[in-house]
Amino acid sequence: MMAKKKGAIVVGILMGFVALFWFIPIYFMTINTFKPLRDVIFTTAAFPKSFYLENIVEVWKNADYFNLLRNSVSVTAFSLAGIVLVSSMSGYYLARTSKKSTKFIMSYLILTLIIPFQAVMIPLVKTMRNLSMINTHWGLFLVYIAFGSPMAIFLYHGCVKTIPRSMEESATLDGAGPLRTYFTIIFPLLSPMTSTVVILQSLYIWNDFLLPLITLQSEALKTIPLGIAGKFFGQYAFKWNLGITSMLLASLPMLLLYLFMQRYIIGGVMKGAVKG
Amino acid sequence: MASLRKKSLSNDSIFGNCWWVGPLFVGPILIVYSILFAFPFLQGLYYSFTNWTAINPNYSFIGWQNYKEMFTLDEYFLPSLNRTFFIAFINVIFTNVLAMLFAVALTNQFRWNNTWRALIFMPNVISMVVSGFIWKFMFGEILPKLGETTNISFLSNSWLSDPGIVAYSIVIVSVWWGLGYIMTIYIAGLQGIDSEIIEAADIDGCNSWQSFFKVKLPSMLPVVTVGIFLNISGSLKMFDTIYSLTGGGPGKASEVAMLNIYREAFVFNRMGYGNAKAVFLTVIIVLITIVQMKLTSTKER
Repeated sequence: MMAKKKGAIVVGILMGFVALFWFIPIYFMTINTFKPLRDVIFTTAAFPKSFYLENIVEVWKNADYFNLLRNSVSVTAFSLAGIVLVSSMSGYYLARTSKKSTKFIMSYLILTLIIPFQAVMIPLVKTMRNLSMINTHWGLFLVYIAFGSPMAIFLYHGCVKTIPRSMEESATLDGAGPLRTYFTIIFPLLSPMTSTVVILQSLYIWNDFLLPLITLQSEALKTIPLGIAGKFFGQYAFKWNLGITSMLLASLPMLLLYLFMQRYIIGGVMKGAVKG
Repeated sequence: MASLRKKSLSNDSIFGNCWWVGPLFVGPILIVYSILFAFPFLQGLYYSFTNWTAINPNYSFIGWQNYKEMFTLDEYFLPSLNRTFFIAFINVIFTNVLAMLFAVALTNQFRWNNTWRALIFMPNVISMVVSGFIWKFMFGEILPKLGETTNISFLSNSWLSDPGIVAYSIVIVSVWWGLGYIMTIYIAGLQGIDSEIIEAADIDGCNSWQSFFKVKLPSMLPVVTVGIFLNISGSLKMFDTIYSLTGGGPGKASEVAMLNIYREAFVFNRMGYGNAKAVFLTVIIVLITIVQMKLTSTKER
């Protein structure tokens, strides 16, 4: 037993080095944000001599960072709200019916898990253009609802199956309609699954690059990954101080969120995997 | 009366006679999904047999010509496909072996393990595009400088400009980005194993290797199947990281299939031809994932 404990400590310390190694790029990104260009080029690995904030000011103004942030927040929030509402309702309905069509719908939806995005992306742009959804935020979040919901429906479907019917039955007998039963009884019971869905989908939507890249053209509408990447290739090429600062600003919202919600985020990933 | 009530509540009748419940609850997603996923998918199959370009709105059916061109005339697509397999293969091996190793190490009793886990997962909350840029900085500025000061010449490799090395550099970035997620899934799998089984193995005198390969791994195979599936399909679709890290360069040395398809369709505007490539890549991804699912699920039994 003693040997086992000692072993755990040695392994624990080794894993500490691994974790440190994983953190190195983020560390260098952070320290170089606070250096002028000359120091970034000549003393890249050194800790900053002074707390230089010009880079952040410059990138903030130049990339219109606040606008990018607002776009990312609204696209992510609306998509998440849509996904949660639409997929919990359909997950509930599909779990409580056993018609032939139920099975068919489930296997129809499962296609997204098998068919990758690129099989769809070229015609999708055309379809969106025909429906004047291209270059709009609402078009973007309808697409996220279409692509994100099937996974969420399966998670909700599994979760509803574990809820006993008796509660809905008594509500029905008391005269509550299906909508009221759903909103007052079922949806609150599903909230642990809702938080898992929100976590998994927000990691994907917030960080998505390809879909905004092919659907958003106006500067004013761009999300953080797209807006920052554009700046990086354009004006900031070779201006490493500004480039690396924009990387930090791009990852900062999620890193901060992660700092405070680490337990929930990792928990959400774990639950998503085991249930999925 | 009682039996009647019971009957009326069984199965579908939780929703009573409300015919509108189905359309209201399931209708919205079916409409959105059909218009934005299923319909474009079918359209894509059709377009792959046309010469549709973004410049000329009139296109016509040209049979298998796009597919023929892909295999005979196109000097970049097949190499990009090979490169994708190569990168995906190394990436999946490294990511999954290391993720499993770390997962086992971090399920030990050690005070700091949750912190280590959080640090290793951290890259996953950063977008892949940004990760590519961060590593462009690492490979271009940090590592060579560290190599100078420490005299380790390995660090001063031309990570991104040497066509023979660039694929490995990409794997480094994508292991760094993606390992935390897979590792977390495996930790969940390990924690889900009934502790009595492990204790029984301990009592029977299994050493750690035996208890891992004979007891733990078999009982968490469903989770491993999910992990490998996510990793394989993610690697075959790799786009963001390479777009920002190398842009496919030097030359075409790191142009993967998705980058090739993206350029064909959205830079060179050959939508029909790009679609043919996308359909072909899709078929490959679907086949590989089916084979993988079959392989791991037969082992599950």
